[in-house]
Amino acid sequence: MITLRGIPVSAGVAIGPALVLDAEGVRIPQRRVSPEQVESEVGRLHAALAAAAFEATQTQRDITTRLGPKYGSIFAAHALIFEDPALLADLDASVRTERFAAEYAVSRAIRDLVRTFEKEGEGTFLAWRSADLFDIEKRILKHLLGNRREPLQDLREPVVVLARDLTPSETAVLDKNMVFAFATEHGGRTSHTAIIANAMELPAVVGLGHFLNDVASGDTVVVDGAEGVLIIDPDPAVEAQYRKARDTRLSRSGYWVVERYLPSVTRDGTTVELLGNIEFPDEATACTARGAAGVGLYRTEFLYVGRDSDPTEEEHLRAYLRVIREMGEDRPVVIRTLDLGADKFVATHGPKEPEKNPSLGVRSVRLCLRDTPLFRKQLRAILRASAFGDVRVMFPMISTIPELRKCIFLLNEVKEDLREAGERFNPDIPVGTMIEVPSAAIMANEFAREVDFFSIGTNDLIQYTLAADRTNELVADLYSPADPAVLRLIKAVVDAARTHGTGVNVCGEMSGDPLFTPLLVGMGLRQLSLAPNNLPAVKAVVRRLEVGDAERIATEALTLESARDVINYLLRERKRIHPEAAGGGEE
Amino acid sequence: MVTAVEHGQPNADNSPLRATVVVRNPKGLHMRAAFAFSKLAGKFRSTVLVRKQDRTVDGKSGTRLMTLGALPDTELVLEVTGEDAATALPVLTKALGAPSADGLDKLLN
Repeated sequence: MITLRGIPVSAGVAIGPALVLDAEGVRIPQRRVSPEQVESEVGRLHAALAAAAFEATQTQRDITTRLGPKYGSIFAAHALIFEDPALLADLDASVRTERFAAEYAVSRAIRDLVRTFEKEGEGTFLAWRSADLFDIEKRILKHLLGNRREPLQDLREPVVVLARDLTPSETAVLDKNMVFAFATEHGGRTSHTAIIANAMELPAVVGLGHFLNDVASGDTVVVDGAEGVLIIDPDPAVEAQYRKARDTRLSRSGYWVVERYLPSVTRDGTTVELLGNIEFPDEATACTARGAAGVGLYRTEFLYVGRDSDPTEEEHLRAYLRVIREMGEDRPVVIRTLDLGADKFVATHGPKEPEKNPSLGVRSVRLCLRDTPLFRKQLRAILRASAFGDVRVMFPMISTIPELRKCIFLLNEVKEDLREAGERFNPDIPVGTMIEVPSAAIMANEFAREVDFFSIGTNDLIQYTLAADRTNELVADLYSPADPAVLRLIKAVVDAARTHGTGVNVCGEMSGDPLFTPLLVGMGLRQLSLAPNNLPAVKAVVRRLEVGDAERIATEALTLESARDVINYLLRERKRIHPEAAGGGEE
Repeated sequence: MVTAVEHGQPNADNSPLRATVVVRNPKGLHMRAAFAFSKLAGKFRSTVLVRKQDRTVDGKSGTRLMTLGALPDTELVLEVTGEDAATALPVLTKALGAPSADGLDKLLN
């Protein structure tokens, strides 16, 4: 037994097998490219930067949803580094004038920054550590060097992670179901890694000094995050003592942990189906781990971003098949067609002139309908994927009936092509439309006749209904899922869907916030699609709910006049329905 | 603190507008604060420079701002030059002197 003391950064006791992460960082040799390779090297660099920025934005979104905007903004700042004009200029110069390979240019620029910060910053920015910069470097290099083995992504059993250091984003993507705790040789109390571990309630000890030579993967270890203690190979008596401490803690705070594999059914026996929202094929695993009934929103933008050519039909198909394989034949996978603004897109599709108002411009399905070869390619891949599972197709940002009919017409044409080519597909593939533009919500009765299901995208619906961009701090207070106008639109859409026997769910961030679960169920929703991480908390509310009670809550909320009144009312109701969760702070 | 012109007045000759700003964030101009500021600065067409003693950096670059190592109570000079300088200066002055990054965080999310 070895007992080590470090810096306690996140309380909690964990006991489990160690997973020792490779202590060696990536070493980048100094390599130069030939003069004629310079342009393609710059292209490669920019593609990697764009992909890294996209990924950081994903992490930001995910963390904002899970832990709140304060934590998400750490990654928003990371995302901005990839676009930082001064850094880009340095990198470009390094490749163009010195002809360094992109990997080396990145590695050197980051090293220079670390040095400057250490010198000029006098080590005073406690939250800003070199860990953030190495995080940035790793992200870019990952895209430059291609897929490296990521030991944390395919864990078979839960572990305690032991490493030299963890970057903030490595910490943020740790799956709490598979990682009990972590302990590192380096790191400080106020690093972003520590801050995030704390927000995730993941027990953690950092700054332990050298110890990785004394432990091997599989050894039993104990982490006591409150005391800052790591015990390698504990004596049976010590282990038993910590086990007891851990179990007491779990029974108090882990109310949803024990419930996560139970069905999502209200107290009076009504099923509220919970599906997962995913962006990357790998996230399908996270859906399964939390007992999702399928994938309710598979965003496909990642296939297009950060590259200089469009994805091929086969690339689409391969990505879809990975998700289908995870879901099996019975669990649905709703694939949403491309939903990007023309401005965020590979060069070939960008608008000739910058749009004055991109969120009201050529984006999403509007872009697809103007570039039918691009659209058809994705539809072909979705249809071909439908031969392998319960695949459903969904169109985003539809604002009028003729637009929707054009999409369905194209889908039918593509079916005809596939039939002629002898390709297999599901001729009755369910077709859905997002309801995220107020015009579509208002015309829901008419839309309901055209499709098999609706998915209410609250994020855009709120933005367009209240004419407020939530990223604009001056008007962000207008943006609220609890706004009575938004609630009435949702209610109207649900009612229209029920009248016509059309399926309906909510897939915006609102559906992942347990505060709104009683309201949504009360308005008649029996299916929600949400970030897999929010699934256990939402299910916990469902299981404490009576439908009649939820309906009363919805009726009452719909009489209120402001978002603030609605929120206050829902907070009061939550205290009554689910007192254990009332302390949790998602509002 | 705005020295060259009154708020909102046109700035026909594009001469630089300056303001002295004291860092009031108790953590200094840390990462989130620096990047939120650079993002805000990037929304204006004017060039934005930030000076600490004898060092001047591009205010639109978060990494450069970080290198100033601006601790609480540091005096910085903000220099804005361009057609929208008169609009930019008061907005940027307020952001740079904000007591916490929490309001600015909204810019990042």
